[in-house]
Amino acid sequence: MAPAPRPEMRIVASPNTCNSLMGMEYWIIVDNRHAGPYTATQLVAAGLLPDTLVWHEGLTDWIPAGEVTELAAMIAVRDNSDIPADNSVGAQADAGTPSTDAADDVAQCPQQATESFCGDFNSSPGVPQPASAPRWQQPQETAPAPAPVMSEPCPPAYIAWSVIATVICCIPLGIPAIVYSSMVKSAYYKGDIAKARRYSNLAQWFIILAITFGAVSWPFQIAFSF
Amino acid sequence: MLPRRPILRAALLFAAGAALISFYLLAVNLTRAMPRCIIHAITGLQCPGCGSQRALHAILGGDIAGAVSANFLLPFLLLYLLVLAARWINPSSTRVGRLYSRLTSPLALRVLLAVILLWFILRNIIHC
Repeated sequence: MAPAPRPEMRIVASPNTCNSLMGMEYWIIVDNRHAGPYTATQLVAAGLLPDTLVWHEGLTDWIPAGEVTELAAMIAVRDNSDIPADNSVGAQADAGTPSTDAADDVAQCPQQATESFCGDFNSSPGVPQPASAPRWQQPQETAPAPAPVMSEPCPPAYIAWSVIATVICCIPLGIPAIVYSSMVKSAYYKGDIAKARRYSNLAQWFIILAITFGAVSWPFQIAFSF
Repeated sequence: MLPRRPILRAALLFAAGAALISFYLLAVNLTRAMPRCIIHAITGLQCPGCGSQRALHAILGGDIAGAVSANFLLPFLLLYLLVLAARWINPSSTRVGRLYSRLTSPLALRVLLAVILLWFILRNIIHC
C-alpha cells in the first residue's frame, strides 16, 4: 500500500513560527510521518482527530490526541460548534494575517501569552532538545523524556499483503509475514527505525516467498488433483 | 506510478480483482479440477490458507455459509482486506482513516495474529 497524503491534515503553516504564543508544542504522526512542532490551535484547526498520535515534552510515548486534556477539550469545542475544520491554516498565515492567529492563541491560553519564546524556537529549529528546554516546561519533570526525533516515514508494514499471503494456499508463510508486519509500527513508534526497517524487509521477503511458492506450485497442484 | 485519484484507484483494484477471478475461473474450467494443496497431501496438515479456494468459490457463488465451513477465517479476512483497500482507495476519508488506524494498530495486529494462530492449531486438532 503506497502511503498517500491525507489532505485534511495537511498543515501548510511552517513549524516554529514566531506567532505561536501557546505554551505547549505538539508533534504528530500523520501518514506514518512525524511532523511538528505545532500549537494546539494549529492542530485543531487543521482537523486533528482524537485518535491521531501526538507527543509533547514530558511524555515517554506517543498517545492519542483524545488523551491530551488540552487537545481533547479543543477538539470537543470544535466538533460541537458546527464550523467545519479549516483546511487552509497555512494559507491564512501566509496571507499576512498573523495577528489573528496570535489573537487566537492569546484567547485560548491567556496565562501563557505574556511572553514570546521566539528566541528559544530559533535556537533549536525543528527538533526538541532536552538541553535547551523552553522555560514553560513544568519544574516537576526531572528527567527529560526521550524525544522521538524522526523525520523519516515509517517503513511500509505490508499488512494487506501479509493477510493475502496467509490466505494463499500451501505453506503457512503468511504467519511470519504478519508477525513482522505487526512489529514494524511498534518498533517505529519506539524510535527504533533500524529495527522497523528490518522487520519491514523481513515481512516483504516472507510475502514474496509465500506468493512465489503459491504461483510456482500451482501447475503441480493442478497435476496433483487428477 | 500508481494513480492518485480515488476513482482511478478503485477502478484499478476492481480491474485487478476481476482479472484474477476470471483467470482463476478459466483455469478451473480448463483443467476441470480444483488445485489441491501438495503440503496437505503430504503432511495432512491444514494451513490457515487451506480451503480458501473453496471458500472463494463459495463466495463467488453467493454461498457465505459454505465459505465459512470451507475456511472459517477467509470471509472475515476478506472484510479486513476490504477496509485496507478502502483506505488505499481514499486515504483522505476520515471515517475510513479512523477505522483503518484502529484495525492496524500494533495491538489489533497482535490480536489478528493470535486469532489466526489459534485457529490454525484448533482446525488441525478438531479436523484430524
